[in-house]
Amino acid sequence: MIGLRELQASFRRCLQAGDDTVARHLTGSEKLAVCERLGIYQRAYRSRLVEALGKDYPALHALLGEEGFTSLCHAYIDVHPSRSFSLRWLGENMASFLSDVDYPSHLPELARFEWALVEAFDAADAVVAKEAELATIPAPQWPALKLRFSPSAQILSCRWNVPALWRAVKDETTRPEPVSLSQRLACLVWREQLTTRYRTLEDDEAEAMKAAAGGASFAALCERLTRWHTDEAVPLRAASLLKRWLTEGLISEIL
Amino acid sequence: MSTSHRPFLGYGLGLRTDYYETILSARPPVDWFEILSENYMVDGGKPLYYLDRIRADYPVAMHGVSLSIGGTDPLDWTYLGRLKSLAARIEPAWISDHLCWTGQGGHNLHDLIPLPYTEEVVRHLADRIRQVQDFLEQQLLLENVSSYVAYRHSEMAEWEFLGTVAERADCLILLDINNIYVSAMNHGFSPYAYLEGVPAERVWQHHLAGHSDCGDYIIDTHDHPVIDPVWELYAEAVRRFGRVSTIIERDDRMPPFSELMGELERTRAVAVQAQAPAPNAAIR
Repeated sequence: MIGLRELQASFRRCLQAGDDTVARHLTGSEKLAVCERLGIYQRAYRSRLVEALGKDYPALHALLGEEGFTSLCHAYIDVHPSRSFSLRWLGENMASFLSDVDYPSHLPELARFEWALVEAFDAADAVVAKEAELATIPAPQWPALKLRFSPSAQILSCRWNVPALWRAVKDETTRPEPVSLSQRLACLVWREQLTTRYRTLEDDEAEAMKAAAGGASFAALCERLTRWHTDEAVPLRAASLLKRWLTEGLISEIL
Repeated sequence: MSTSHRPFLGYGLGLRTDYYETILSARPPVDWFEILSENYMVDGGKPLYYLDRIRADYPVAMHGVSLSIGGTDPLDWTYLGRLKSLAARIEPAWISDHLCWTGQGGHNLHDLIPLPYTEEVVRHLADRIRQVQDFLEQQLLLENVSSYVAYRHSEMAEWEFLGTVAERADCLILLDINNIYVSAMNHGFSPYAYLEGVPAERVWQHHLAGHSDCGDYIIDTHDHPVIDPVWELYAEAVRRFGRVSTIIERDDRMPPFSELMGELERTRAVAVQAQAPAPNAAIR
């Protein structure tokens, strides 16, 4: 008699690779043969995973069409079967998979963008710092001030117009053609309270935010801004960025 | 551990995202909700936000799909740790999962696959269930699954297997009435014999749901209302097991909330009627 471990391994190979060795350990009926019974599990396995990926990657789905997306998902789950207790993590390797198998390069980038939205959706909650806190900070402490960003915030670097592509799918409007950008575009993805958001960043803002998130002080952040602004204009720009980040719920702590 | 004081939560629904806002704004007269545990084993955001608020107003039980209690991979202690943390956060009435296996070789197949009904598997399950119960510091409820295959080397009927496992592991039973019906149709056994064979004192919860009739077989899709033969089987379950906490599961083709409330009313009515003494009971 086959052991349980071997039986389950054989059943798994049937679902994942179509190997029907397990059939010899099963019984069918006149009404429903063993292979038809196994077919129910095989179809359910694929369709459940494809459905989960479709929820995570609606724009990728729209761009590839039903057939293209389904065949992408089948190829993907053969290489990246679920190893987590939850389908929440199934799609985490989609962008790298698309790069590895030579899909047009706007698609991995679109996948990276959609995955960032998934990550922001259930990232850890953070108590958000309020703009009023700034008023309580004595002037001499400002240069050393540091910021901690919300755990949901991440900056993506786009070479394609992926935010526009995604937005068109989301709004069900006419999709623009994928366009390669002359200059990389920084795109911020985060969650403001319960709402997942994204927006593009000016170059100076992206630089300042990356520096601050990396632990740079307010003085160091201002120093970075001198690449774009005169010495006189830097404090104003830095203050307006800080104010915007606070208003948008991006900062969890002022240290 | 004891099976004698079965709590009764009443008649409830599986909590689904489609109805979060309705539940929070209308506070519908649902006795309790059952949550899918894995959906809330996340760091933050909407899932936990809504769960905390709904929990403040309703009793909740936790129902998992990834324990793989019948699996042969080692128990996933990281998963169990997260399950226990979630339980500490929401203080559920109980925690349930399925009497099945869901993965192998580190791969999660995300399906509830039946086990061979053998003495060897009973021993395997009893050992793992006890480990999980010790870790969670409470008894588990395990649910009978819908199945489409049967194993050649099974040595007993499914209900005998379920009862033996429950006794041997000292765990409790979540008896899904629709799953009994689905498996009975797919394997050709009597659903009423199933009810007869289950140890009544261990049955702490029922599930009701709809399914898809594919002609030669039935699939447990949770995308239709409960059908009449399942209502009749439920009435028989109530006659046999008494008052048992019950929920309706709906996972696809989500209807307006009012439709589910209608099904919930019917659940209550069927249960109340099945418990009422027969008109001539006194003189019989």
